[in-house]
Amino acid sequence: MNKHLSSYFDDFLSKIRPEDEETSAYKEAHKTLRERLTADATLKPIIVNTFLQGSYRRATAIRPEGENRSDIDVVVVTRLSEIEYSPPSKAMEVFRPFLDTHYKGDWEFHDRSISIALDKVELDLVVTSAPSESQEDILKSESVSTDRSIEEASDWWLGSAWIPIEKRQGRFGWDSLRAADQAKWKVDPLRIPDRAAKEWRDTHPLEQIRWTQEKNGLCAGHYVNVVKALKWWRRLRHTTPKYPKGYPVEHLIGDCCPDTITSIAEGVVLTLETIETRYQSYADAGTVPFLSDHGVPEHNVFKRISGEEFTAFHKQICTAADVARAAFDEEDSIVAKAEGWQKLFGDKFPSPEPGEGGDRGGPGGFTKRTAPTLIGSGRFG
Amino acid sequence: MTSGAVPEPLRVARRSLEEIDGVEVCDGWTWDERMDLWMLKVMLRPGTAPHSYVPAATGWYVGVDERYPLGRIIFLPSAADGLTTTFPHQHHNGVDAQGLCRLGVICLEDYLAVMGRGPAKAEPETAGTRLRWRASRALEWLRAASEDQLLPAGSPFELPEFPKTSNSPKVVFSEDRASFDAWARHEHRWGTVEVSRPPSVPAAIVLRRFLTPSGHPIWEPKWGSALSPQVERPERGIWIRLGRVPVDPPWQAPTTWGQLRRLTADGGVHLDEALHSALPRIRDGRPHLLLVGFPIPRTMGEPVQQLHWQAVQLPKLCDLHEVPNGFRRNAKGQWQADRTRIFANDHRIEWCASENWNTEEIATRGQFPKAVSRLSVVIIGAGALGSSVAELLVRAGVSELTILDSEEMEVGNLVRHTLLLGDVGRSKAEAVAARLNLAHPAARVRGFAEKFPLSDVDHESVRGADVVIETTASNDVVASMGAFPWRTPRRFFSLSLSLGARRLYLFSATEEAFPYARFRTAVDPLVAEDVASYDDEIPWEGIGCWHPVFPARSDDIWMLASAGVKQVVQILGSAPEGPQMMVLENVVEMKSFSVADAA
Repeated sequence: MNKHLSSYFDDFLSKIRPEDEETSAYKEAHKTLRERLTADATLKPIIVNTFLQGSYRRATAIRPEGENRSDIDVVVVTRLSEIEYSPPSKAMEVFRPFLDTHYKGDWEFHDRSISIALDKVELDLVVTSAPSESQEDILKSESVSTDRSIEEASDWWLGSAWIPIEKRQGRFGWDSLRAADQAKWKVDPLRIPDRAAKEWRDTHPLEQIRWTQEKNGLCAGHYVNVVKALKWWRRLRHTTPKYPKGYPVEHLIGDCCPDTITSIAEGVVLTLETIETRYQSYADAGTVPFLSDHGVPEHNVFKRISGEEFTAFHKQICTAADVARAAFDEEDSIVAKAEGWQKLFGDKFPSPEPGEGGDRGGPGGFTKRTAPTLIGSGRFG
Repeated sequence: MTSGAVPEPLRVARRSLEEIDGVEVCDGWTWDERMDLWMLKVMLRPGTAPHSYVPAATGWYVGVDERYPLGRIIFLPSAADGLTTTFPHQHHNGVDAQGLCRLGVICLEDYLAVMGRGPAKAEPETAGTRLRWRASRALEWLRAASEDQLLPAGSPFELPEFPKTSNSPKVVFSEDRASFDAWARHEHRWGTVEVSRPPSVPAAIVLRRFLTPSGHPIWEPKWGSALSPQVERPERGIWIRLGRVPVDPPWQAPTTWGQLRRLTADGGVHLDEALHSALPRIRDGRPHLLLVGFPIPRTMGEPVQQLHWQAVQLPKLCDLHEVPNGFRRNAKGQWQADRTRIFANDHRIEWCASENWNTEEIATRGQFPKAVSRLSVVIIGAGALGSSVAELLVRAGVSELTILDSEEMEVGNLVRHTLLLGDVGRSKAEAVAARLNLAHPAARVRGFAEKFPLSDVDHESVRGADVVIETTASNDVVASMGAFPWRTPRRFFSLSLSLGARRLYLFSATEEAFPYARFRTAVDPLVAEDVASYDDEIPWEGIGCWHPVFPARSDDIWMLASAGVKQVVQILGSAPEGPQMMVLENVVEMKSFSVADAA
């Protein structure tokens, strides 16, 4: 029996990742938004670019529950200076006429973002202040604008020379180009409104995307699937505590998932075990670890989590680690193995088809003939 | 043609492979338009000791029909990391320039179960079990391959695949133990062979007569009439005889002349020497066949016992005025030109399909015992009963048959005759003979449009017959049989049907003279009883025609004819007994059918 059950995990993932329809819907919504912004005479001059950020871009999103809409995060990079537009709410106001024109009744200002409720998708726009001019080139490049997730955009890198793989026909030397291009560009954090839209603060979504892409490469493409699987587990099995959730959980998984994993199953069990051992002392003491953000190291990704919440969360991790280890190590019964994983992932994780033990391809050598050998259907014409 | 999404049964099948030790699924299903199959890459690790041609892990592509779990499932070696040579029970494992796989589909049929390898039960049918069963079998195949056990001693011999390059008709030969002995008496390594293309069998090119280099006959099989028409100037081919099956280990037939050259040299035959001598016989501006013969056993591990011929289509050889530049315009130059143009080391051998049509070879599906099929038979009467009996005898191996009937085929006969619309107006006997000559490769059937006895009273086909079967239901004919001076004892049968075709009257005797009186004594009361109990109307033939017609359909005739033939064969296989009358009755009771002995 295959320890990793790769095809079981593949099929499980196909049931929890966003569906094609959903993906087309949000890409379409973003495309429309971008076109409208470019067509707007007032806004066009002050917009550098828009791009997708968040779990959809990082390929770590799972499909929404039930009839819920997908939440899509869009960054709008503007040329509005921080000096003129402080507090940041002023910058957000600049968009009011545009929003009323195109999305009347469906949009709303929030503390630090603008939400637009569409039919199948909810766009969440975050407006940035002006980056330095030298950054504009990279921020306008295709590597930033592309709507493809890192799973869809094979061989993606953050650099001005990146183009999608299908446009590269007949040209070679991409490896060295990639190395040179990446080395050339240092991308700075962007500046977005803080929680109450009173000040501008740093954020670095592009670095998070880049980091995820690199990690996923080290893990042979399994990392983003480990994230999706564990997100699914949490949503299915543990609705409390409320925090940690979303990006902080993803970040934790990223820190604890070993680079050497060879399958999703291995990634799930080793990540859970690593979180368990690494943070046991924090859970015991009732404290919360400082997880340094990849793009803005002084930010603590776990800032908003309380000691109590972390302890409860850690306990859930411990139990899950035991279940995962038992399932991963199970060698005798495919049924027990699949049921083990289903304890974490529910019924979207496939069950084995029933079948007799006798024809489960045993060791080689001679099998005693217990019944007359049948030829074909046993009937003739 | 298929849409993009992987069907759920295939997903289930892929997951089921995780349960087998030794199978590793590499990837997901992809649709291959050219093969019209869903393909899945797997690695197989049989876990056996290393073998020169079987690495510890080999790559395979599993091809599955989109209607899975119905439809085809095939296993092909991966071009990148799979087997590169050909094994027994595998198609020729050549390279496919376009694809990810090689061509060597492996055969996973029932022989594996018979050998006691792998899942012995019947192939399961559900999505989660069928592919898994096949994959287990593939693993078993690979294990057997790595232990050199795919053709173990005691298993039936299987030829390697000689990959065909064209769809030319099949070359047909007849070789068995007896012919092998004939060949053994000669030393010649090459010679010529007469070849014919029978007009009535367009699928066959028949090898007729094998000759030594000086033109003396070595072997000529006894073909049936259809396969050995008289030909004024028979076509000619050349043959070369090797010492053993030409295969590169493990079981790969040669595809180029260089490979064949090397293999025949290993077997002690010099290919070029033989060709050099033989080619002048077919240097006439036309394409010819080359037959490569080698001895084979019937069972692995046993001594060889018959010759197998594999045919090669040769193009027309170089003519004197066609000798290309650089070659001398003489016999030597012609040979060298051909050697370069056709027989160069890297040139493909144009193998064509060839088959052994010896009765031994095709007998496995059902023939009479030899003691019966070697008898010569005459059938008097080619009506509904006679034509059916004749066909049953010939298909089961009776080759020497003569049929007598003075009537012509009429359209009304079609309801229960073996002849067809195209035969209407022809002599029944001649038409049945022509038909039956096409019913068996060894059939030599003659038809005479005459009533019994023949005008040539001493005709050998009647006088020399071992068995006489009368089917006319005519007392006149049976009386003639009684009066005929047979002079030597033989087996006599009379077969006829009752009024409603519910019974068959089967009279048998082994005598020097046909016991007519005994026959009448036995049959008359039966007929009387039958007539008395027959309730239905007897119909008349068509409009304006005055004679009554015997009402019976093909299903009646064929049932009773079959039952009758079974009895005849049983009697022929036993010691002769005195005259006896047997009645075979069609009893239809409830829902069962049985033929009961009611006499």
